Parts: sequence; structure tokens; C-alpha cells
Amino acid sequence: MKFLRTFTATAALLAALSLTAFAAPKSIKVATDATWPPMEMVDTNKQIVGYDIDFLKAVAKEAGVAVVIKNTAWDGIFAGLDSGQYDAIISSVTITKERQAKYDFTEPYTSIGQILIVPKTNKTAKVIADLKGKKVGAQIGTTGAMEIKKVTGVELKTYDEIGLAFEDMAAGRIFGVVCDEPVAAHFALQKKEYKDKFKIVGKSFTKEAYGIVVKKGNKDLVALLNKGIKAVKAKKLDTKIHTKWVK
Amino acid sequence: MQENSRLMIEAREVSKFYGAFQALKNVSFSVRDGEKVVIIGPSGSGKSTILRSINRLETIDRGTIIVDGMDVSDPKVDICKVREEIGMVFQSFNLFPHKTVLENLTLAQTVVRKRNRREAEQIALELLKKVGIAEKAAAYPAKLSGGQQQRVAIARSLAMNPKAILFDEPTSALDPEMIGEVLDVMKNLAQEGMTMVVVTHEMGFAREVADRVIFMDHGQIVEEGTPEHFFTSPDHERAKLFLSQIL
Amino acid sequence: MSKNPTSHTPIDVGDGAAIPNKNDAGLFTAWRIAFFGAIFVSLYLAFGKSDPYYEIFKFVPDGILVTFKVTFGAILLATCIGLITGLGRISDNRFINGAASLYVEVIRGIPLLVQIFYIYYALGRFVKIPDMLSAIIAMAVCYGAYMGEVFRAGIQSIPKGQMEAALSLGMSRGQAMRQVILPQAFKVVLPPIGNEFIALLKDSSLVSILAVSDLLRRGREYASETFSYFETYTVIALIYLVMTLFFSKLIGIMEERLNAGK
Repeated sequence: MKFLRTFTATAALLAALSLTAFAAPKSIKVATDATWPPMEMVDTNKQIVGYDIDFLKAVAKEAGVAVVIKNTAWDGIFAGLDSGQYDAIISSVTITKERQAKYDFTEPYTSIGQILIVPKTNKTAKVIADLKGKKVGAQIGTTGAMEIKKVTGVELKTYDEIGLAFEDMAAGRIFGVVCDEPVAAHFALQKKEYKDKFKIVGKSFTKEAYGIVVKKGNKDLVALLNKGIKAVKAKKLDTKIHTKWVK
Repeated sequence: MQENSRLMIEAREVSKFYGAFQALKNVSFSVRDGEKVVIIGPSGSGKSTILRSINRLETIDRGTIIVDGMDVSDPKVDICKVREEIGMVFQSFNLFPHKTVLENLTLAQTVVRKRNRREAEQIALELLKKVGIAEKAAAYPAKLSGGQQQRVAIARSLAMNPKAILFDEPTSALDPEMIGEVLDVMKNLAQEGMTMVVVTHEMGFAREVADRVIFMDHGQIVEEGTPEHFFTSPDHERAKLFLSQIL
Repeated sequence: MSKNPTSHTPIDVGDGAAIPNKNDAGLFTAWRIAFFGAIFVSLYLAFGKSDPYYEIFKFVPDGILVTFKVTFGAILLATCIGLITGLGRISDNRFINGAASLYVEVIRGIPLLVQIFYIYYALGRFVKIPDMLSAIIAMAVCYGAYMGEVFRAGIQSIPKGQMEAALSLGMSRGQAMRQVILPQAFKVVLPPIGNEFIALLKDSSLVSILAVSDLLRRGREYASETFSYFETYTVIALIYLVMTLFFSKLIGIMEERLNAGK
């Protein structure tokens, strides 16, 4: 009898343990493309830092889960999620219909828009369409690239990293860059190599929201992350992070 | 032998070193216009080296070589001018395999002598007739026998109207049955009064054609004289030994 | 050419797709299977399976054109650079020889990918050159060093007697090089240049990192928007395969013609 009792107790304990483990993983792996300052970037100490990183850490803390961040090239970052190399992506991913068809998103956590940057020497361009017959750059597979593609007569050039697009514009090979507003501000207003060369024109011309991406059907993880996001927003932690990283 | 004719080639105290090895030791000799000189000696005796020094295919370290009044050992002298006037026939024929027999004969005429194409071809065809292979004018060298190739090589050299021709073992690479046809061409040349310096192992040719025989051994001229004297009663032991070995 | 008395030592530059040799029956069969197999699979995917393969095949052709432009442009330029480098490497002039050798050593010591990045962005810093031309120059500078070694070996494979014969006829070194040595050397270097061409065709995919819209970049653009990575890279791989196999065959035939023409 004693034996049976011990056995039942152990079994119950094990079941309970495995249940909690299943419901709330101890640690999740999250991918980011740390070439998108100030949202995600590698600092001089080789640490991955930025708005998204601080935000993710806050969310994880509220949700009671540890995170491991993995720096991954943007081109293929979704493929890595498909093949299970990590559980989620936080990398300034705009929630779009096309992406929602293949992946699940958390609640939106911040809103941004696309914006155009041109060399200071260009006095006339206000919108992408003003650059007809010219090459305009964006990071491959971004909403910025899709916006350029929509404008007929403008040739889209895609780059692995947005920094390379700015370098190519400095070299005079392209005549405009489209990217997320905070990133544009970082390159065109703050970076000392480019400050005197580039300018942001007009206001952002899209309304987009970032979400954290998980594999289609991973409802538990979405729920867990949403719980964290809700708590972060309730405590107004996100505004603090915003002021820290975005001017 | 025309004792009074002018000097065509004059070598004075010529020495050459390969590192510590002395290939030529104070070699002095002269060749008069119209003279036929045969240089013989065991392999490694320096006979090819001195021949190739005459048109500076080999450079010398000490001494002077005067060819047709030009100092070959003087770096300021345009060696091309010397080579234009002095033909050379090689052991391995060295025809240009990518050119037809006719083109082999016309190339230097047009490039160096600046003759026009028609004139060069006319001269070439006459010379090919002279060496007995006019019918091969359009063939590539690879289609010719060794003997035929060497006759073309002689004709190629003649096409430049040289004042003298150097022969560097012209029959050594030939099958025995082809040696005769080449020697016949050379004998005809000799009869026409061409100045010739011939390095060869063909003692019959030396005896028949040479005005003078030079015997070399260990980088030195050991004996020099008429063929009758050299082949019948040489003065030096080394010459006797050499003759006993090859005759 | 093999019948020439001046038999050349063949240069062995092992890279690129093997150029099919009729004497190598196994390889020849493999070529057929791979080539026609790749074409058959492509056609099946495009018309039999349709979505998204048909879309991908429609999306990438201008990328193929760019790949061709980069490859042909780079091989032409690299051949010129290679010829000059090869001549420099055998030059008696110490300065020219040193410069050519230094170029070869430096280029051979740096990975191709790093060089392409470096030359492309270095060019951008100092001169205004359009992107495609920059990519071509970058590839050509890299391949020029290897081509230089091919030319050097090719020139040195021509027997010394050829130069001596030309010189003894009164030609200058330059005349002898142009009239006698190089025409023969070109035939010797043709097979290795063919190999370099195939290697360059494949390596041209590296320019996709420079945002040149070549075949690979077009594929990546398609995949990054549709997330059909597997399908896209299947198509890209098939197209590269068909291209390299086609050209290796073509080069093989050209060589055969050239050898038979003698």
C-alpha cells in the first residue's frame, strides 16, 4: 500500500511538472537581425541591443520566461522559424496580411511608418514617385522594399542590410532609401558619416505595427507573449523604452 | 679561303660562368667573310655556348664579340640589328607550329625587314624551291618530316638575306635517313659562298666543307686548323682521343 | 595540336564543372543525365506543378540576364588583366615583375567574398561607377590574378626555342611575344580559361551580396516576400545547373573544334 501511495504521489508530481513545463516553457529562443538600428543592433561590446531587445526582455520578465537572443540575417529569418531553429522573431517585423497567412503574430507592440531618405543634393524629391527612372534601395523582403516596388518606373534595389543601402547611396549608386522611420532617423540624422549627406523628406507614408512572430499554430507561445506585452503596456514600460532608443 | 676578306665575326678572350662553373675560358677566334668554320668537340665542351653567344642568345661575362662591326657584348648595341644580319638554325628546328611553312618564311620578312606581303611571299617561294619543298608551302610544320622541317628552317633563315648563318647541331635531332638531305642543302649554301659557323658531329661534312676546324674541350679552344691537318694528324692528345672515339 | 613537335604541358586548373570529355564515358553519361534531367525537372515544375514554381520561373529571367552580363563582362576583363599579369610575372623588369607578383599574392590571400565587398565599396568611396560595372570590376580583379597564373603557365609552356628562333630572326621581344608566343599560348590556356569561365559563372552569384539583381538575388527577393524558400532555391539551383552544364558542353565542343582545326 505504501508503495502504491508513493507511486501515485510521484506520478502526480511528474504530471504536474510536465504540465507546467508544457504550458510555460522555461526559456525561448528568439531571432533578430541586429542590423536595424536603433531597433536592433550590435553595440561596440558585441552585445545585441536596441528597442526590440529591451522590449522583449521586459515582456519575458512579465511573462516569467527566460529568452535567448540569436542574431540572424534578415534574408531567411522566416525560413529559420519554419525549420525550428528558434521559437520567435522580434526584428521590427511589420504585421502584414501576407505574413499573417504564413505565421502567427502577437498583439502589435509599436507603430511606425515607412519614410524616404535622399541625398541632400536632391532639392526636389518629396515622394518615391519623384525618383522615376532611378534606383531606390531598401532591405530585402522588408515593407520598405514592397513600397518601392509599388511605384512603377522606379527601380528597386534590395540589400542584405540597410546599412549597405546607405553606403551605396553615399557612393552615388542609388538615389533614395526607404526604411522604417526610426531607422531612417538613426542613419540620416544621427550617424556622423551621413548627417551632412542625407536628409529625410516628408512624413512617413504608411501606418504599420510591429509584432513578434511565432510559428503558425503555436497558440501557447502567442498567449504567453501577449500576456507579457499587456503587462508591459499597463506598466508603461514601453514608453520608457521608446524614449530611451527613439528620439 | 680568302685571307684578305674582312672579318665577319671576331671573339676575343670570351669567358662565361654558370655560378662557379666556367663554361667558356678565354675563347678567341675569328671568321672571315665567306669562310666556313666547323666547331667540334665532346658534349659540354662549350661549342654550342660560344655559337649562341655570337647573336647573344647567351650573354658572356668577359671578353668581346664583334659581329659585322657591331659589338655584341655592348649592352647599348641594338642586338636586333645584329640578329637581322646573322641567321641561325637550331637542333630542334623551332619552326612556328601555328603558322604554315610559307608564313614561317614571311613573318620576319614583313615584321622585321618591312617587306610587303607579296614580295615576302615571292622570296619565300623561291627559297622553298631552292631547298626542294615548294609543294609544302601551305602545310603546317607538324605535317612535315624532320628533314623537311630543318630545310624549311634553313630557308626561313635565308629569307632575311643574312650575312652569315650559325648552325647549332642542325642534324642531331634527325633520323639517319634524313641527315643527308639537310647536309646537301648546307653544302649548296657553302658553295654559294655563304659565311657559315657550324657546330656538328658530322665529321664527313666538316672534312668536305670546312675551311677551318675548331676543336673545343672543357670550354677552351684546344686546336684549330685545316680539316686535312686536324683529321689526319692533330697536334693535341685530347683531339686524338676525341677522334678515335667518334671515327 | 597534340601532333606538334612542340608538345605543350597541359595546365591543370581544377575548378568549375568538369568539361565533358568524350573519352570519359562515365562523365559524359553523367553530363547527359544531369543536363536533360535538370531541364525535364524544370519543365515539370513550371508546367506540371504550376504554383508557385511557374511564378518563380516568371520572376527570375531578368536575373539570369544580369548573371550573364556579370559573367561575360568579368571574364573578358579578367582575361585582359590576366594577360597583363601573366606577362608581368615573366618580365625581366624587376619592378613590373614585383608588381604583378604582389597583385597575385594579395588577391590569392583574400577570400573572394571579402574582395568583392572590399572592391565594390572601395570603388564607391573614390570614384562614381555604376553598381553593375563595379561588380564586374570586382569579379575581374579577383579572377585576373588566377588568370594571370594561367597565362604565365601558358606562356612558359611554349618551348624556349620558339622565342630564340623569333629573336634570332631579328624580332624584338615584343614582336616575338605577339607574333609567336602568345598565339600558341592562347591555345594552351583556352581549356583553363573555359574552366575559369564556368567557375566565374557560379561565383557570379556572390555579387548578389552587392545588391546586383542577378539570378540568386532575384530568387532571394522572391523568397523573402513569399516565404517559399524551398521552392525558390530549387528553381535557382536548377537554372544554375542547366547554365553551367550547357556552357561546359559548349566550351568542350569549341576546344574539340580548335584542336581538330589544325
